[in-house]
Amino acid sequence: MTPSATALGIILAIVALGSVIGFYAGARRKMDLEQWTVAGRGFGVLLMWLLMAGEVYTTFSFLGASGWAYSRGAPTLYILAYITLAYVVSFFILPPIWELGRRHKLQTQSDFFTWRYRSKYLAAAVSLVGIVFMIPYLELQITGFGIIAEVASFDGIGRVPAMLVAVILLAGFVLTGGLRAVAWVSVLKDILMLIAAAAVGIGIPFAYFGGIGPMFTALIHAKPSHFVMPGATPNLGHAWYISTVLLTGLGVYMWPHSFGAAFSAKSSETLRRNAVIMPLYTLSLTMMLFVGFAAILVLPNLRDGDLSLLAMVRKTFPPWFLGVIGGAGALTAMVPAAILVLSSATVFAKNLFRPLFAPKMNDHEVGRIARLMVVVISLISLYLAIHGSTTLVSLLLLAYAGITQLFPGVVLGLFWKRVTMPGVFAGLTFGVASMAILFLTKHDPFLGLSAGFLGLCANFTIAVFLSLLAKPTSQPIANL
Amino acid sequence: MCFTVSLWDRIYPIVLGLPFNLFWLTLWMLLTPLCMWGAYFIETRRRHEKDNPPA
Repeated sequence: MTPSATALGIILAIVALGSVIGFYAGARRKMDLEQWTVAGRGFGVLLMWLLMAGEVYTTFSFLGASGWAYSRGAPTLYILAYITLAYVVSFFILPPIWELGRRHKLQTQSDFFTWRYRSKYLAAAVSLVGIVFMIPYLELQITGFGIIAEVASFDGIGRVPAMLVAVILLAGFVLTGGLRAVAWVSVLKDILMLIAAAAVGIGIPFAYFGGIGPMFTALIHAKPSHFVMPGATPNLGHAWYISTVLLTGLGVYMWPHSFGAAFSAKSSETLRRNAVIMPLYTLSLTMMLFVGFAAILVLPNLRDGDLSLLAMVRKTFPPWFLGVIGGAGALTAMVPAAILVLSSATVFAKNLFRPLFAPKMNDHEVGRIARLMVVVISLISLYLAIHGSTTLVSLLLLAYAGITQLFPGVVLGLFWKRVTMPGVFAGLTFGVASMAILFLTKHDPFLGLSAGFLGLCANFTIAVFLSLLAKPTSQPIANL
Repeated sequence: MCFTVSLWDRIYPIVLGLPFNLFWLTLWMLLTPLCMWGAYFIETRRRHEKDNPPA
């Protein structure tokens, strides 16, 4: 067997095993809308942990983090900080969200907006923002899958056919299994990913430099400027770092899928415990960064930084191990992609299409539209992944700049009685518009700050200001 | 906390073989669960007292 056949064979076997687990987990239950989207609200600590790790540790952490460590240097450290910050945020906001979800039968993030602000138009706008900014995130996953196939086949398979296969698998998987399938595949994904992180993060520095310390000594000697901000970039300095950590850290639980994941927990206790243990998982990301840094000296001329982790694995380990790492990577692309597609499709059908165009539709029909949207959204992301050319981290930053604009609506809605619908609506509109203008005119970062963060500040200010102008009303808010 | 970046964004001193900024962030990844555990503990006790007021 040629090395590429071995590697690809193992990747395929792992993906197949994952799919079997998924199909099996989903097949034994009757799939109504509640079961498909929030798995009947029955996830305990373990499944919840897996689901949340499943959605946060995506192909972005697998390939993107090492990619930026390779090509940009120190600014990549923002990743370690924002994920940790996100769990702290989740400790405070997810339990009340869960509580409301249980009392008022909420299934999606937009349901929360409908309930809190009594406006189907605001909820529809929130859904639209969610879906639009999920697409770059999904594009990221599909691109990651393409990179894996490309490297593992020793450039024998192009990215495009690989991405096509990924999308077909993905859609099939989501359509049959729903959320429960996704959580169970996460079991396999997380085990493999932890093994991969430990093996490559420790193995590679030892193989080439005799240890992690000697590796950094050599690196600092060769390229000292790479290891303090702004690293190898012209404009990603401290102000950028702070604004980006805040933007993305606050944004992690604004994703319709991670917000919605809170509803599938068995109790709010589960969510609190989760928030306590999750940061430890982030240690695996440090390992990924090691590999990106090692590649600077070992493979100095890669055309694309995002290839660095897999190219290092290919150079260092036998083909079968490249297969294992590639398989882990493929699952870290598939699992989050499945969650993203599932929740954006549900939100589209339930919170955008039904309230605005077909108010009489029953849950069964909503389920049908959602399944149709799974296919549509997958194809749009595939199209963008084929024509896109930016780095994985840049895609993620774009996605976050948009999605975090939902933060004021959620947090003010949870903790401040006086917040009003027009305030939140105006803030959201302005925030999204301003970040979109800055991104489209290529002004990100603007004045050294992340464009999304500036939009967020304006958004928050507008929401608070307009709410204060309105007369205090007696909005029903849950007693938390 | 976040405005301290310029204090720790440096290579030296190298701690445990890591540049100082990387070491600092890794350290906080370990300390955060500890702090959160503290918060969890306080929160649980508060809820417990709310449900069962002391006699």
